[in-house]
Amino acid sequence: MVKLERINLEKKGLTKFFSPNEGRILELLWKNRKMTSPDIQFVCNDLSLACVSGTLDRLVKSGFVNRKLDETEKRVRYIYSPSGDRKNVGNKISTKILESLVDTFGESTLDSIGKISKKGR
Amino acid sequence: MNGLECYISCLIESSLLLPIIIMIGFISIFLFRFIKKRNFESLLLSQTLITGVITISLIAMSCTMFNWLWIYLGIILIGSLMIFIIKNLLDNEIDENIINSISFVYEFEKEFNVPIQIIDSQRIKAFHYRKRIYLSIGLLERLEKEEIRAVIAHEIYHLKYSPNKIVSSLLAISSLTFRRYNDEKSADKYAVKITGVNNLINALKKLHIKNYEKRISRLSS
Ligand SMILES: [Zn+2]
Repeated sequence: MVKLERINLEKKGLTKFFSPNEGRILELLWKNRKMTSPDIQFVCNDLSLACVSGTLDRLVKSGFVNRKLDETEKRVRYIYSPSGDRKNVGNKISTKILESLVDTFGESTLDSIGKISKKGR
Repeated sequence: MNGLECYISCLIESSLLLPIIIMIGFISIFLFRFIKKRNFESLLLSQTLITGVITISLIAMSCTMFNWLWIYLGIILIGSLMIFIIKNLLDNEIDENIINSISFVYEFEKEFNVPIQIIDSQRIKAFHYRKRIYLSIGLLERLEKEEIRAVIAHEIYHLKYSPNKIVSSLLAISSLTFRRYNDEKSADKYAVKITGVNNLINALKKLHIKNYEKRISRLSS
């Protein structure tokens, strides 16, 4: 899960909630659905092997990315896929942040959500 | 009387002079062997002999000139004690997710007769712990079978011939060299013997191992 202490609203896009490399790989997986680590390494060729591997392990651990073992007689590899689409991740993060806001500010949080959703219409 | 003369007179006055000299002779032979062959067992033996000789000398001589020998024995004793305590505090199970039943490594287990555990991680990991070899999926993914064999052979060498890290640290302290016995070179050479030089070089290169150029050039020396 996204760690609240990692959230930085001053940053842009996904990096508000993820590290730049996590965000980049997540975007890549949303676009391509299924990828192996060499595929990802090929696109992110400016990142080191250790960096890509570490980021993938972290994304799996936090539950935003799934991986499946693909095993044949000759080799074994992971196939990565996002555990949800962009909207899904949005919901997860919103819920987590809202829960924390309601916990701190109570009812007033829900008032402002009402205002925002009216504005949106 | 200067320092050296004092030491000599101390030795002459002691009745155990002859056996001590004989033992020192043995030590020299063992040390020579160690330096020549870099053999861990000879290091251990010579270390034990030195400690033995020092103890006997101390008992045989009541000469205050040899106080530094007591300090040396103290260092060995405290070092062993500390390492023993640290070993018992740190000797935990490894903190990795293990994947069961990868048929891929079964033939390696059979060939080398060693259990191989597979770590569920994209990171490159290869190590041995408690008579088992641990490899990560990230490593298996990137290497050809023969290159994996080279990595396993390297680890097998450590399992079979490398001294336990604790023993190695103890020796580093007691020999006052404070240098860990390092036999990465021997392990690499063993892997080359089993799988050929190219497989090991390719494995080191593909895994972006630190200082791999240095390790490769060491192989030919
Ligand atoms: Zn090694």
